[in-house]
Amino acid sequence: MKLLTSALLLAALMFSGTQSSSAQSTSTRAVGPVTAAVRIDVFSDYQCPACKALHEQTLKRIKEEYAAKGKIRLAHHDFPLEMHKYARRAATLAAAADRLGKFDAVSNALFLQQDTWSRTGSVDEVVDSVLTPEERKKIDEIAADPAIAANIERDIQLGTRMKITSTPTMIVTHAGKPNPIAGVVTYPVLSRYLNSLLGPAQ
Amino acid sequence: MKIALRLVLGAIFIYAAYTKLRQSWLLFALSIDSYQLLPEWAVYAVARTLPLAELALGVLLVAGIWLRYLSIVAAAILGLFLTVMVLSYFRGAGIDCGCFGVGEPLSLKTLARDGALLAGALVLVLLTWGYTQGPEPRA
Repeated sequence: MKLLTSALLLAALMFSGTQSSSAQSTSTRAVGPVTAAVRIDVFSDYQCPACKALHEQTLKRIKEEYAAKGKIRLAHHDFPLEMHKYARRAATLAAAADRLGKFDAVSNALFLQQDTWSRTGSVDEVVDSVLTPEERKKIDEIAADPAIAANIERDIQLGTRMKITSTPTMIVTHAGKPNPIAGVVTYPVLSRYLNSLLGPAQ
Repeated sequence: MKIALRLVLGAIFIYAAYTKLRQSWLLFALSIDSYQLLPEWAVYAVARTLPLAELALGVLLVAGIWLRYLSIVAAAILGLFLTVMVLSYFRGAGIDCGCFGVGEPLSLKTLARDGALLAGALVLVLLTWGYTQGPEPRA
């Protein structure tokens, strides 16, 4: 029964990543080949300080050095916590930006300026600062699409089924086995672990 | 009571070692790294040696060898674990305990469990050093 549950959750993870990338080829919420031997599913909240630390210290490099080079698949999942008042708005705007191929620009800015907008609630201003007025207008239209909210809700439900209790949590899946890693880990240690999974032929 | 305590503590140390040794040592290294207390070299050193130390301690406790000294070692290790876990929990780090492999969040439950084990180890120290039995009878 436990095996069946794990298999279903893995399928859900794989489907969720595939969906976002196939719907829009410009998407960077999930980077790397769907068939990669190793995949990392990150459940993150834009207003959580530990998520900012993991993103800036570790995941940006993992994306560049591993996912963008096709060694692994790295997928972002939104897991906005109830305690964070502006996290859902931030997730909505980042998800909308993804449809314009601007996910990295917006999510990097949201994490970079987290201290400010977490206090003031000025999430939209952060997005304004990294997009052209035309892009900004489009993102407002896309953000109103119920599919965006539905996708966030689906990510939350998936995380809940994966028994995620805190953010950030990464699920590193290799050979069909998911391993949850909660909290902030450093790039060198995560990199060494990934290298051990990928083997010498990476 | 002394026998029961050393058997229970020994079995738990062996199980803790088993859950770490059956997975990649680097996965345990990631658990240690998430506590954000040690430099990289120390993370690797602890990840490599702690499961073996737990295994050795567990086996010796079950066998009842060097009990007077090993009960102190067990209490010291559990005390160290509890201190680190309490500090991390109240710092708000949403991390895994790392106690028995991956996937168990650090929580009040894990703190209570480690506290209970520490209490057991301290009782074992008292019992093995004879503090609760009064002076030994003269031959």
